[in-house]
Amino acid sequence: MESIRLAFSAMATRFEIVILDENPVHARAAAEEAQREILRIEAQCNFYSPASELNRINREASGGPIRCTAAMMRLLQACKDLHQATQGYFDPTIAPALKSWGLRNQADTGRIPSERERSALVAAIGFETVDLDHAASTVCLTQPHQQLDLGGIAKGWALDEARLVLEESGIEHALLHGGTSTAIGLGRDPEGQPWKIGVEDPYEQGDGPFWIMGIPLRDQALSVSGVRGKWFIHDSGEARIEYGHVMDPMTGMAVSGKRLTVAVANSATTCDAWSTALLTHAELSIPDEIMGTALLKTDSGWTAAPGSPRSEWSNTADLLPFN
Amino acid sequence: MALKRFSRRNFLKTGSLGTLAGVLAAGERIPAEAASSRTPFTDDPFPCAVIGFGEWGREIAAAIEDIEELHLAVICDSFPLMLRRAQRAHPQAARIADYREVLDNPDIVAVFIATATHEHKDLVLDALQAGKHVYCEAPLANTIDDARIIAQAGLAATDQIFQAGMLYRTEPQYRSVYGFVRSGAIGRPAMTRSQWHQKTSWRRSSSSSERARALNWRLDKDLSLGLIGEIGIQQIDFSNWIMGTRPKAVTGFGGIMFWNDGRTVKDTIQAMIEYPGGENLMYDASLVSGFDASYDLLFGNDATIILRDEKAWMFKEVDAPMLGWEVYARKDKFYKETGIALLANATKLDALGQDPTEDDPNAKPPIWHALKAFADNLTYGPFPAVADARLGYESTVIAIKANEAVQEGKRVEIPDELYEIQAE
Repeated sequence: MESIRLAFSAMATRFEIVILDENPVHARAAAEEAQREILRIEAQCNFYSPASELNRINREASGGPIRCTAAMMRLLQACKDLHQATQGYFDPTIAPALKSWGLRNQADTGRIPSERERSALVAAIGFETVDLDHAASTVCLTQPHQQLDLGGIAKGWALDEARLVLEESGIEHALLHGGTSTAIGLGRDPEGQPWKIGVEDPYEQGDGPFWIMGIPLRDQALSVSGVRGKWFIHDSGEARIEYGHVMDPMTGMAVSGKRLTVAVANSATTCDAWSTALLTHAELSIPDEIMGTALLKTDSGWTAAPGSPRSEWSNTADLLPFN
Repeated sequence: MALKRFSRRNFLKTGSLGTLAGVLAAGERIPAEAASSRTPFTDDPFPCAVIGFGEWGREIAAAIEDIEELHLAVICDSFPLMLRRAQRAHPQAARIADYREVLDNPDIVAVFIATATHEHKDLVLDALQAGKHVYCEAPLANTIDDARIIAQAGLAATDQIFQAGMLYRTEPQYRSVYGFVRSGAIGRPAMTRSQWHQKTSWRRSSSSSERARALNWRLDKDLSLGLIGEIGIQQIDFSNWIMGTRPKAVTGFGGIMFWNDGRTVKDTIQAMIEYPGGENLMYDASLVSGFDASYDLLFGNDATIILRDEKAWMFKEVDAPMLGWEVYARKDKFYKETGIALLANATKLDALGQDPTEDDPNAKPPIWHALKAFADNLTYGPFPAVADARLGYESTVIAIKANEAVQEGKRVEIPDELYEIQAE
């Protein structure tokens, strides 16, 4: 088996596709097809680019239903299903809240909106109010100031679509990741073992890496979410609190504290949604086919967040120690 | 025989059904079938089919979905995997493996042919024979004989639209620059330069090795016109359009510099294309380096224009005459040079409060404009396509000769008579 590696920039991060195959020429071609699929989805889901389909929806779908591509309808339906499954804690309509918190754009420095502002934000949040009409292939944003931000799910969606392309090309062994926070492991690694993903402690300084856990992926996907990413520290005089770029759709509050969530499932889209949802609400009840946990960093190290339904996960045989 | 649509333009001219008889009496070119057609006088979109659902076929299908006059009714591909992809991307379209079944369907008004270049001929001839309007990707064919047969059939089918896939002739920014250059804005054109750089193997993958061989026709010199023919044909056509003439010779170079994977088509090429007036187009394309992507440069004694990403800027010579409007124009810095933005819809964007150098929210890719021109022709025509059979043929001749020069590393003349073609 030979290994080929293709890395490229997309969705403001670095994507990487590693393939093991007896035919490296074929593997490279398959990786390029997967790359094209990811770039296509990036162009479609770009929140900022006026030329993207998502941007057009945000501009025009408040005034009534507008036509979407079948690919976008599939993605929005996946959002709908995951919104429901996570009891509303995964919600792509949080875009105005991110803006209000100053966590939207690269140049933003962060701010805490007033309670009144947050109340107004919560009123505009709620993916259940987004109308999807599959027969007409239309979407309608029914609430004033409502906007969609697919940042919480687009990487997973793109990786799932890329995986499909690889599988259709006959690729059996591959590792794909977007920004290291969402990954898919197919088949076996070069040592014939399941691909093992290490979850790193984002709060440790110095020469690392400082692994929290290692997770083997058996034709599965993994997603990690945390407060760190885009974040700011608010110093109230009494306490210094870190606020991160994930919003609680129920309160309009940004997540805070030293938190990390991990989700493992067959689909990267599912993982992305669940790791986001668990970050805002650790007590969520998770379907059996998904492994997920919310972790808190305390003075004594990482521990399961109170109420996290998979708090026992850290003791399962699925977790591998790193040397 | 498939339905030939009643011309909407003519219908609009006549104004009402009551005058239809008068139109017929006046000898308007209306096929007999129109009188009994399914929905001849409605504004229903035209049902059409894409034949070939590879990468470019997917672009065409996506563009069709975004044009209200067209309805993507069928996607045809002989490869089951492509039909599965079609199901995911366009679930409402029927999926058919045999193109003859598409042509036998009387509801299908037009077909968009996006198969391998060497497969175009039979498809075009059969589609025209079946009464369909045809959009055929460029190059039309990989041999001059096939290209001539296709073009002659396109010219002969006077009741049908035949459009060749020359993208820039209908793209607003390129059209705008064309008018600008023709008005004398760059002075005397001296030379042009174009490049296309992309780091990619240009190879397609398939789980079946037999299918992979068929999919990778681009890498086989016996089937493909290589980078200059399959990609460069568009940029060369733009240069020809600007120069207002056709090349008389081409000298080519190239090699397999990196992708030494059994292909017989070169991965990096250069060519010098000579025009009768002494100007040259310098062209290069590479699959090895993606640096600087692709652009087109038009050099004149007063100014140089660069087009990239469907945007354009003009760089003036110090001694060039002042243009009345340029003091108001938007200017952008490019290292030590200052470019005057030439934007086809700058005034409209300014009026809408949008930055003309940002992505235009209403921008469409060149393929969309090409298909919209086709759709407008269906709706209001038939009138001669901007990129008609003759232009498609001439461009294909240049592509074939340029590829010959590149493959053999020599200078190849293109005699004027090679460009000549008559409808049969």
